[in-house]
Amino acid sequence: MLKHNILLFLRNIKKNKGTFVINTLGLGIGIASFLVLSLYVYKDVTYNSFNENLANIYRVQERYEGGDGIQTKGLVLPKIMEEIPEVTNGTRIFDWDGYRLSHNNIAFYENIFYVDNGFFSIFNFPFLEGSAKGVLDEKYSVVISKPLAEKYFGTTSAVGKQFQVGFDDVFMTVKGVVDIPENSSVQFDIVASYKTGEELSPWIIDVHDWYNTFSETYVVLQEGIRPKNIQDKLQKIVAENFLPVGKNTAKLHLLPFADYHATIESNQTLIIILGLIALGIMGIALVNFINLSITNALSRTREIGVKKVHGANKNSLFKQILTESMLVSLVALLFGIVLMHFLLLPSFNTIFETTLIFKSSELTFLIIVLVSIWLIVGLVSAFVPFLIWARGKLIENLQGKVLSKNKPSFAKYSSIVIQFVIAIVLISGTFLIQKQVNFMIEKDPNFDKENVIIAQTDYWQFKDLEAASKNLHILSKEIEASPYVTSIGFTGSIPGDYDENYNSFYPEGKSELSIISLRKSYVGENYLKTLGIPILSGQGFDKNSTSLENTVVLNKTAMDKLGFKRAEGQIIREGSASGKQYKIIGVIDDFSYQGAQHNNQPLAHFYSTQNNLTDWDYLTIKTEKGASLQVLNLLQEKWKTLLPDATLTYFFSDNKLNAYYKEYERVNKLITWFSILAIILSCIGLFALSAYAMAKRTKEIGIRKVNGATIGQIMTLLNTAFIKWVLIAFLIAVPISWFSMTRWLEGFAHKTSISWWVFGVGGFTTMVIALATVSWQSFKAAMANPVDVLRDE
Amino acid sequence: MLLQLNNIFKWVNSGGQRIFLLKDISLTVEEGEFISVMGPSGSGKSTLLNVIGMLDGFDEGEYHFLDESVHSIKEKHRANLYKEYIGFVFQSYHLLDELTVKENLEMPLLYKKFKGSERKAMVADMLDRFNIVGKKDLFPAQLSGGQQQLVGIARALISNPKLILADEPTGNLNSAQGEEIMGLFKQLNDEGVTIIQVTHSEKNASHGSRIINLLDGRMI
Repeated sequence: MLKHNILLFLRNIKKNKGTFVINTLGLGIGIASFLVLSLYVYKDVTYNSFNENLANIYRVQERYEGGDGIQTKGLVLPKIMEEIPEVTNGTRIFDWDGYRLSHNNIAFYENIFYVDNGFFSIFNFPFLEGSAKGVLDEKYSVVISKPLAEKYFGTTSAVGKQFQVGFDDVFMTVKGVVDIPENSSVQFDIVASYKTGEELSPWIIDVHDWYNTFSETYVVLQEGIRPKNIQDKLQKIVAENFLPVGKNTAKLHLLPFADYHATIESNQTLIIILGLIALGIMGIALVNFINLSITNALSRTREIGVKKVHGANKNSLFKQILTESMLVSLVALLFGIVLMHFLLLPSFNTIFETTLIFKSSELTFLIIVLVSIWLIVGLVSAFVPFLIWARGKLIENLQGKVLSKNKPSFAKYSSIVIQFVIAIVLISGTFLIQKQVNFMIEKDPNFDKENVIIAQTDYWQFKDLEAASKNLHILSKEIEASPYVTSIGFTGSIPGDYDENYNSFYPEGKSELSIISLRKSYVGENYLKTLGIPILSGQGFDKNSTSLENTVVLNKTAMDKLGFKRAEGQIIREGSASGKQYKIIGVIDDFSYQGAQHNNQPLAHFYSTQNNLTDWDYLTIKTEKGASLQVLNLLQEKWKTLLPDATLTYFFSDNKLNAYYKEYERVNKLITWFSILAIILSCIGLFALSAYAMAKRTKEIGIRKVNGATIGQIMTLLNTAFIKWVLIAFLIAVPISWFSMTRWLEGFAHKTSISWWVFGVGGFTTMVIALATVSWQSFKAAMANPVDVLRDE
Repeated sequence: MLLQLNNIFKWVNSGGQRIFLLKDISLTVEEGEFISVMGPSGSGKSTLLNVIGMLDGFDEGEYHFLDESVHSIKEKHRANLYKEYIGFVFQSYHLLDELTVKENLEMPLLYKKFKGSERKAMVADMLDRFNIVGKKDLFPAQLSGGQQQLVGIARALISNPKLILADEPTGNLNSAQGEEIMGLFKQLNDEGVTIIQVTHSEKNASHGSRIINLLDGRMI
């Protein structure tokens, strides 16, 4: 019997290739995207879970009235370990240092973590080489990540190899290589002990006091101890040590590390949205699959009638349809897995720069998900047609009559409408996001983005900083001498790379109320002129001007906030009313120093000089219009002769700024993917429904044709019935997408307008695709010979 | 006695009126009979055949098949009854398009739980008897109408029914093919199979042992 059923199944596929392909394709796509998204969500939900003692690990936070810090003072952990016995283990991570590390000829600038002894016993990073126990005990021992090992040592073993630190006679020895899980909050390339760090960079010792907060601090509590049990002891540490002693109101808070990712790092909205999309897509694909299976099954009523007459009972009919739907869904499942593995997952990883992969340890999870999908799809799409078959009257079965009754219900159409609403919303969303990204990129940044070349000084590349500084000086002089160059200047900040460095400033002669928080940046001579930032009043830091010492230039936003009418002659003091004073010598217009999604902040440029030019981060060069190519050649040529040991990195002035928009491009790509997916799935749904509806109208079509209707007229008749639903979907979609677009745009300081064409394009695209889908069916129906459909019996 | 109908009525309600499909039909069929049911379109021939075949119900009257009272037994029991004793032959053959001749013959046996080897023997026997061994691997679409009906009859006979019900078995065939099918029926009847056929053709009816004429649902 099973053999007979499988045989019939295969022959039916052969007969209805189109339906079968569409059906499995639709479900396969649904399953594949569901798997990718649920993998992403699963990884996010199980963040950090590779740490065996996760439930007892806490991250220490300093909470103030003004806001919560995520770092702590460097002395907090040693004090906790000393005074609170319930804390069994702990480690700090110091993440503020880096060096040029070289091995043979390979050299890069690397950030280095300095950690306490507890690090590898708290975090259970899997070791590929070496082992966790005492791995950092020896000074200058390091553990490196797998990517770093590959970067320096290729496929050869890393343990025992050495890095030269800078250009000195100092070496670090690799003692272990770890494979850091993708979903670990603690990510590093190279880690060494505190002892090593303090010897390499003695300044680290100075910042470990009761004032500076440079440390990420983790503690492990004894089993059964909760943070509230030791809160008093923590507060005692605050009271006795935090400055000013006895008056500091900070609260030491223990944040469960298990919650760390969800509360601090992850975009929970995105996760929820992705989860909903995953379920939605799976739901749509399922509904479509079941609809199509039912349509397909109904077209076989006659076969069922014949079988019933020859002795088939309900049981055997159910077995037959179950075999079929289980087989189809199995094919779809396999197709989905292949699609996910070879297309969707790699694309997703490229777009989101993740390395999501199903690991063998997650096989159980995968199998459970797949088998449940298989069972649900198989059973439901078997059960519904079975009910119809079993209920039908034998005589009507034989006449193929079941189709004659019940038109596609509103419920069926509503599923189509919902699918098209989703499609239209996503498509319009794609266009709007693109519009906003273009708007931000094309928005006049108020600095010269065409004729300014920026070169990185990259101090870490130079062995002899004195010589490098001298040569940089010569280089800048020689370039400045070129007739193609208008001006040149060194700087610590460029658009897209302004430090997050704020302080309070007190305007001289004003009440305390007008204290202003300014974002600080340090720039050299001619920076404002070179970048072409418009000066509204006063002057920039022009060369040859009188003393620039202790001068500052504010932007318009800062001036408006301070309420100064004129800039010149005003004095501001840093930190307190008696702090260091700076003379305001000019005001610049607001310009894009950060992405256009953010508001302009009060910004201050401080005039600054460096004894060693390598202490500047960038060299900026303004060229004559259209001469950037000549200047680039000159720069490369001079760099090669003057600084032959260092690689030159250069770009145009808006490069770093545009990097701010990458995230949106990424989200846009994702939404584009989903809108394509939504369109495909909706069309499959529409295809199924139209096939079903057309089948019911064959007789009507025949009668109309016999009475003189042309093929064109019949197609119009059939298509209108469907296009109506797409129009309804459009009407529902417009307010929804308008609302969500407005909400999304609220996140941007500078926003594009929501044009009508955004909806128009979304609606039109959907309509065209829907029309094509339905027309294929209606053409077939209209072309049918009326003699065939009108014959009785 | 094979079956007996006593005062059978069947009707539908349409537009507030009761329209009779069968009116007061009483009929006794003995084993070995070959009955032809005749009458104009809409006279109730097919309905009568469906009632006898238990594919369709009736509203009033009594129906005895062998020792069973069909009017008082459950649907499921009734289905078992026709599955065991009745073979059907249709005007449009009703072969399954996706199955070959051999598989079409085998299909009813699958539902009657015959073993694989038994099925093979019975199918081979039937192919042999109807002289269609050479066609066993062809699909219905590859056969002529007459050949398809031949397969249809073979399928009806394969599980040894006591009664064959044929609804216009030659309706879709040309005269030569029709003649051949009638010859076959006659031969089957001679072998002891009871046959009731619906037909328009006097000539076909003449092969039978008895003719029942219907008009507007009544026997005349």
